[in-house]
Amino acid sequence: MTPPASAKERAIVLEMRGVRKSFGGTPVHDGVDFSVFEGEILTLVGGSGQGKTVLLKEIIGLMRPDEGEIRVLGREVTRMGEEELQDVRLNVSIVFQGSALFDSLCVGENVAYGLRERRRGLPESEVDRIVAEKLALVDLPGIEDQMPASLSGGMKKRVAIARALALEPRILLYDEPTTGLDPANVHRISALIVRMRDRVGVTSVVVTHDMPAAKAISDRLALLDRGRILCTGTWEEMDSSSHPRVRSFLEGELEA
Amino acid sequence: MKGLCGVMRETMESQINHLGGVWLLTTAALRRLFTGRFEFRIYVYELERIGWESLGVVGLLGLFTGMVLVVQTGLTMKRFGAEGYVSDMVALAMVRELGPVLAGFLVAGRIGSGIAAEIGSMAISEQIDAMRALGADPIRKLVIPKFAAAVTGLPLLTAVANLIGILGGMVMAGMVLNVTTAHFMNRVLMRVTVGDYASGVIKTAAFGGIIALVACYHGLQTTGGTTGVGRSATQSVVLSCVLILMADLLLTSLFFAVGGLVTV
Repeated sequence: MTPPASAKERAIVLEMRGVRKSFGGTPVHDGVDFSVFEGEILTLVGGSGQGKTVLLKEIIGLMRPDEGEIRVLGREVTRMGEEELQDVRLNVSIVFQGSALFDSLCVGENVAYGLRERRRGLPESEVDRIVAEKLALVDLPGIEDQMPASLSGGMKKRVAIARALALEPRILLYDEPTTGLDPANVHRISALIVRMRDRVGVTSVVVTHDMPAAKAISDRLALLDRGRILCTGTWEEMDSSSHPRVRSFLEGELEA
Repeated sequence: MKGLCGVMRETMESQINHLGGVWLLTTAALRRLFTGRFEFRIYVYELERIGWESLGVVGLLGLFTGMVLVVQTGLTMKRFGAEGYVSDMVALAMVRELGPVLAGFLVAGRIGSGIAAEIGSMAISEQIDAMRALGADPIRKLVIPKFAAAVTGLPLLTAVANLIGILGGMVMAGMVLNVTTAHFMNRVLMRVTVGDYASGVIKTAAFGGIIALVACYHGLQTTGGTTGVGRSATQSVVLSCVLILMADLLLTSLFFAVGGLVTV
């Protein structure tokens, strides 16, 4: 399967080549290759324990692969030191599976955290303005003073998205953004991911088990199976595939 | 099935691994301590948590230790007509040894376990990863303020424990041995030197550093959900206490052998 014509014309902003990773001698990735085009939403799907979250953490430099290359916006990140990675992280943000909001900080401080760390010298009034703008973008205006413990799961996810957007990254990584949410919140988060692409132009890589959500939001999907990307393509391309592993996955016979 | 030797070997290997990890964290923290920004606001918060909030329990520890020392030793000394020297014994034991070590144990249990559990919870809920992803350095944000607060806070706490311990001993000596307040305090001021006090302060600063670094290390290494958090807290207290005892022996020997800081 090949990238769609519209994607072909766009620049590649993220590229993995021959990425291998093992934990305690057990291989998880055995040569992962895929590319992400600017402005698209690529959804990584695959069975449990395939290391989809590990791939996201490798992209942002929170984990390192044993072998292979990862190019983010043209820069090879696997051999970068922590300081160089901080430059990359100005353009790449991640929304963690459990939201990972800082318990001891209020919502406003959570959203402002990256700004205060990376854009020192920014006036507090400007920080407040950006925080309010990002919270409004995720439909949660005026909750700056609330503590994370008082928020619902869906609200936490949206605050985490607002926090990730605060530094205005070019690439946003979502780890299971709809897991554990009720259908209304699944729909809301899915719509939000699409809106971020359409309104802000952010490139998104989404890891999910939620196939209806994947179908709704994806420009392309990549199926990770047995440590490699088995295929990439649009939902229609994947749905029409005759590959037995792809069919098994889509029909729910391959563990998702 | 693993034999006793196998279990002991595994335990030793694991503890050596932990010591290596603590050493790496120590060098990383010290390197950052003298370069870049110091998070003063977080340091003050941690100092309040380690120092002020532990003051009551450390005061109680000092009070009862001083009193029980008099009860344990004073009556025996009285049989030899040496009850007048109980003040020397109480003051030196408190200032040189019992104050620092007991306050160290107490803070390892009360604060060290709390730090390990707090950072461990952050680790398993990906907050440490989030911190790094947002451009913050967890060592600078979490480890250094706690380390600095423990190194400065524990000597202050121990000074309070020592003072209250000596006062407790004085009250008890008056009640049990009929030693007058003036005699007790005169002997204390005559016998306890600046070197004695300094040796205690240096020891407690070292103990504070050990407690904070061991707790932070175990917190950052936490895996395995809530069970892992509990395990980290326990391991942190055990390793801290062992290292406090080892550091105590090392530093005390050093003070006697080369420093001339304390004398017999």
